Amino acid sequence: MKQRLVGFFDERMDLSALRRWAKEKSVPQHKHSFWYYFGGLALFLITLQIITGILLALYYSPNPAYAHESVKYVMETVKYGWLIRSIHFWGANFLVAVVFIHMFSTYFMKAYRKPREVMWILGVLILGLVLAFTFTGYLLPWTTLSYFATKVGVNTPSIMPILGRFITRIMEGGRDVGAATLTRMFTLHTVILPLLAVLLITLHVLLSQVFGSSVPLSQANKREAIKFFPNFLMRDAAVWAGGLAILLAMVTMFPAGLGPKVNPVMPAPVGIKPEWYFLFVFETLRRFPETIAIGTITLAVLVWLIVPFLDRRASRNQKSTFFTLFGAAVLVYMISMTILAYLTT
Amino acid sequence: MLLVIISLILVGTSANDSLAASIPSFAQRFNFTLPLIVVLLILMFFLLLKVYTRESQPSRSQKGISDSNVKGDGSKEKVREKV
Amino acid sequence: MNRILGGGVAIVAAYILYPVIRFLSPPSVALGEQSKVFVTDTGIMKRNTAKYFKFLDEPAVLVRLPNGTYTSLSAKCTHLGCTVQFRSDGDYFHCACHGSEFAITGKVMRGPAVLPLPKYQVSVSGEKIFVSVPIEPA
Ligand code: HEM
Ligand code: FES
Repeated sequence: MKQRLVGFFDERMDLSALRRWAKEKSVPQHKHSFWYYFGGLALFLITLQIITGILLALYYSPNPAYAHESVKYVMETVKYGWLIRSIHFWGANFLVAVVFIHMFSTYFMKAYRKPREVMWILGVLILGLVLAFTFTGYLLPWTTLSYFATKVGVNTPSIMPILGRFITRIMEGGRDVGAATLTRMFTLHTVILPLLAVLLITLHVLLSQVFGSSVPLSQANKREAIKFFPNFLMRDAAVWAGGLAILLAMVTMFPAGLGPKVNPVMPAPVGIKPEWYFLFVFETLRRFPETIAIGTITLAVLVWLIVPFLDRRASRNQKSTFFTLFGAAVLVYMISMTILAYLTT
Repeated sequence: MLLVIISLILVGTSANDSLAASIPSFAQRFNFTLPLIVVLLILMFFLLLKVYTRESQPSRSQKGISDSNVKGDGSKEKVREKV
Repeated sequence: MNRILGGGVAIVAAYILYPVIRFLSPPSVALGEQSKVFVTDTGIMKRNTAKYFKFLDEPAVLVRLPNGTYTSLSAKCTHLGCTVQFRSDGDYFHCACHGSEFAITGKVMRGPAVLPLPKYQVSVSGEKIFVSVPIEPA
């Protein structure tokens, strides 16, 4: 039966290329191979977000009068609504963490060096998309916290000269965050960003098949590799099973909460803070004038984006200590700002 | 691995559900997710078992496979010749 | 030949893009009707309290000062747009988002905000308190 099915498609589509690819694909084994699991884990979590997101969208209503109520309804009345929404909530947090780890690990292994420059750029853009997903999704429950987080977020570009105000207006869709903003964020979150994400992730993963996994320079003399099918895939699957188990444990222990509905004329409550992954931006904004804060962060992101072209030594397969230090400095800055934000109220 | 289950049980016995009373209680959530978590962990265990028993067989070191990955310079042909 | 083709495509692209961009930017609302709003009746607000309301589609605040007079300002923080909170312990505004503070006149007392809160005009006619944009910008 299986034979005939395969034969059927083989005759019509010529699966031999696919089969050869499956046979040849391998993953290098060395001291730092551990980090290879995070890309696959990110892929798994994004799939989970898309599935749970589509389910949530069936009940969600992007209207200030009903948004909060519809999320409440999902949590309290819809069967297993708490489960679906909590997986979406925790999945988003896990995903951000995993994508950050994936990015920094490839950075420090200098996996961005020639010929994988485009993969690196796609990867940074995908991280941007993931953060955009969390930003736009955050407004949807229409709570006090989500309302002010969005206000700060949409007003941040307005610092930029010339185009800034225009971008803010386009994101807000009105004179202030309101009904128009909610429908815009909803459309971004459920239509535009998913399409972009699928496109960029497909390219990123396709390229990773073309080039295979990069081996860090320090391990270049190691020649050991394991086959992808089935050896590495089985390891991947084990990681996914473990990851899902931890995710479900968090979902059970701490299901997604729902803050009070926003009253748009009331002041921002004392002590509000963004989610953990935006804390370093938040702390930077608190400590420095906004033009300097946002200007510096924008510049750093641009440098980060084109790092494969700046790090010429790595492209020639030479050690580039400067860029290792630069990455370490960025990481230390982000972590210390995050801790500072936790310590100060 | 067990840590996940243990922490779940610990939280379960100590939690007085401070969350909205109208969502299913911890016990209800726990009863639904725990079997799945256990199955996932068993699955993971057997996957790993399979990985390690497989790879202790001689086919483990696969130096022979043509491999564009070993050198990061993208010159597939060259590497293949070397191998 | 290629130039003509390319130019044609560019014109078509511009023709599609322009309405899309205009579609994205929200139509500006006529503010003429709203430039004066009724907020509350006199004698309702206690001294040293604030009332929040929407004005020109943005949050605004009316404060009754300890001496019994009224003052009104935009409540939208000039830093990144959160709504500032009136603090009766000392008559100032505090923004919970990044800690900016504004004096009751709107002047910045503590950053990161740089610009003052815009002030509105308060007028009392009979028992009713109205807030409007100043004729001459303050
Ligand atoms: C990378 C993928 C995604 C991420 C990181 C993400 C993240 C988020 C976050 C952080 C929230 C707010 C959760 C809360 O506090 O309640 C949210 C809500 C929501 N998301 Fe997503 N999301 C993703 C993909 C999707 C997709 C593909 C859809 C649908 C097609 C979707 C539909 C929704 C809906 C309807 C809500 C509102 C319901 C609620 O808040 O519980 N999401 N998302
Ligand atoms: S928005 Fe008020 S201090 Fe930043």
